[in-house]
Amino acid sequence: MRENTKLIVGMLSPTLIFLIFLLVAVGWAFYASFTDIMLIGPAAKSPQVIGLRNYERLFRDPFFYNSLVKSAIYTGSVVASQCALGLFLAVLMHHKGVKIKSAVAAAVTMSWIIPDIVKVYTWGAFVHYEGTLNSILRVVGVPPVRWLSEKPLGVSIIGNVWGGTAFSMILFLSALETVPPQFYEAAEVDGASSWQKFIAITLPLTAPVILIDLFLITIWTFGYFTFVYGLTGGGPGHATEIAPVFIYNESFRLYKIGYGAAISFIMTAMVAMACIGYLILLRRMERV
Amino acid sequence: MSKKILVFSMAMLLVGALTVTGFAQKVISVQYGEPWKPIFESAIEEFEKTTGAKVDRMLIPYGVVFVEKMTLDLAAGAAGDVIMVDGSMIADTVEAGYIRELDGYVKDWADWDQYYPAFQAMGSYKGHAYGIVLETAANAILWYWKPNFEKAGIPMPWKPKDWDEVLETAERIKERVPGVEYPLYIPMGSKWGEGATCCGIYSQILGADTSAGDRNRLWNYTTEKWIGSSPAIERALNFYREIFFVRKLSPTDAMYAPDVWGEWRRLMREGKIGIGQGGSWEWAEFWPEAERPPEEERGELLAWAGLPGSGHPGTPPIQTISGGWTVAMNARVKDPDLAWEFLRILNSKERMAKWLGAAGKLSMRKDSAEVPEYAENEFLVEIGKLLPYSDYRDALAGYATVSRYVQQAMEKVAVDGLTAAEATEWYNNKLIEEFGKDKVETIK
Repeated sequence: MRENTKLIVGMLSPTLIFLIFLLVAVGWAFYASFTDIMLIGPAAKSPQVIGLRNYERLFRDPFFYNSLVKSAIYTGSVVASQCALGLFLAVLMHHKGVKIKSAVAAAVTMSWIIPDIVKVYTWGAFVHYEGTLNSILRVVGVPPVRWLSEKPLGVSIIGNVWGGTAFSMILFLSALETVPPQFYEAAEVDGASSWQKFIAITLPLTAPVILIDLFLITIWTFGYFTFVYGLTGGGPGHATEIAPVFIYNESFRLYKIGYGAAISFIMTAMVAMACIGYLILLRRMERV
Repeated sequence: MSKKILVFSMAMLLVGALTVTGFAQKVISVQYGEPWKPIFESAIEEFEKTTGAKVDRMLIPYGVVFVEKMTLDLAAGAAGDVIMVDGSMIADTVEAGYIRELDGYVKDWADWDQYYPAFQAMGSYKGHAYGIVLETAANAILWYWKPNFEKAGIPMPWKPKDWDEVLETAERIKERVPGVEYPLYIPMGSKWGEGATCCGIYSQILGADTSAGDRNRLWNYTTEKWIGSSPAIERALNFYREIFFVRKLSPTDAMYAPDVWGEWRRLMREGKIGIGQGGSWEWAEFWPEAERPPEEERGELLAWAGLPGSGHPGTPPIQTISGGWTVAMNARVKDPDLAWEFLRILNSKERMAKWLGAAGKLSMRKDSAEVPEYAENEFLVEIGKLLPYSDYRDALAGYATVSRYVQQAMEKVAVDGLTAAEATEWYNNKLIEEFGKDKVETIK
């Protein structure tokens, strides 16, 4: 009994320490969201409690709505593309006849493991006006495009998909390993095509993993800051100012840390709602 | 007895050792950016040699947004004992309680009188000294790439007399030199940050109208209000609209590159810019140190012209703005005397003048003229002639926020295509929202 108590205390302590730090930070940010605290100027030294004014301002701020729209497009496109591409690559990797799968796996995984800031500069160089993408296009007779000013959100989305697909691929690959091969053999005996096997066997049996993948990438992409900020800073204008970039710009470039905290709480509530939706769906799926 | 003597001797030795060690281990932290590395490194070397103390170097490399990094470090209590503060942010930094007053030190420092009063003021707030200006410059001059001008058949030296001439010259480059991607490059937008204001639009605002009644500023020193709307602001925004949106003289992609400063310098040294508005320090900074050609060679490729006023009646023939970086002492410094000793060594006459001369930066000290390395630098002599046309930013609490809204107003015309009047109205509303109606005025 005594040994058990020691074990429980030992295992709980890191969790408790983590929770305390988290709660202090979250509690401070929550308090800050009701103040006019700034990073510079008199309000940095003596912030005043201003009640709900930050939240009222937020709902009147067109840049906030702009960031929501951009985040919805960005997150939706990244999540859908990354999941679809990850599944496609996993099926490809799982297939025994594909010879170049090691090379594909290495290339995809490499883009995932490189540090974010290296990813930003690599992708920035690739889509640069004088970069590799335009060089390839020139070879096939397409005039060069200024991607960062003409299609900034598009190149940010594709760049993020490029950098993140490996996660989905690895997740799906492990899910595919759990599908009994007899199912496919039986389907082949019945004359099922590859597509029919995918729809009737692969998809239903990997559905819970797909949902987990969607759940995780939604949370990560919605809060993912480095890539877009590094690539465009939210510009041109506000064309790529997704929610995390908007929060950063308000908090650290306009120095309004209180206002930034208010936006963060609203954003957190939105992500939480999306997560609850996923979890409900997952639970329903488990019951089926 | 002998045992007592032994114990006593050992105790004394221990105390002595601790004292020596304690002195030798005195440490101050110094935080500085990569462009200032040479002067800081040489000062650190001398400081360590003369005081025996150690310096913890906190270098902020190229590519990091210096002002944001420094502000966050100050807010988090993680900044160095000696730090750098942009002259325009002295007021906000003092109000936040981040930096320490230096009055007690500068009053006994003979060198302080060598600083021109305008530069003493740049590092001061409400009559008290907080920062020592390390460098200044003409923040906005028009650099041009001579081979492109030759190809376009534009006579040199080029001395535009108004904004129309600048635009027409850029149009000519666009027409005749297809390899030039940015016929007229001018810092714009929020990714450029304060650079878009201090190296970009503020010079245009100053040159857009007469200075009577502060018509050409962002702050009215008589009424003590921010200027939300004025013909000067509208004209300056319209100039940007012409460049980016109407005449397409500069694609916006370079304004949002991962490293905007690095990209602007690369484009210029590769001849992809026709005319580029930037600071006088670029004479050296356009090239990385390892690739920098000697001055004569640079002179064959690169030249500069003063930025003209708008051409409206009463506007100046040339307009520029001078900023400056100051070195200051963190309010949390544990050993202010030691930190001051570092500041004193860093800002010594010889070191300062030699570094400014080598870096192509202007001095704010009268006695720099006595140092040959500075006084004989032809580029600095020429740039120095712009100082009578130079003005300063409104270094007041709130300026950083105003500057940010100016940058967003630039994006409204350059990217979104709003008219200058619409963008000015947007800017005015943001200022009212920020400071209240009684703190913002309109100049007709």
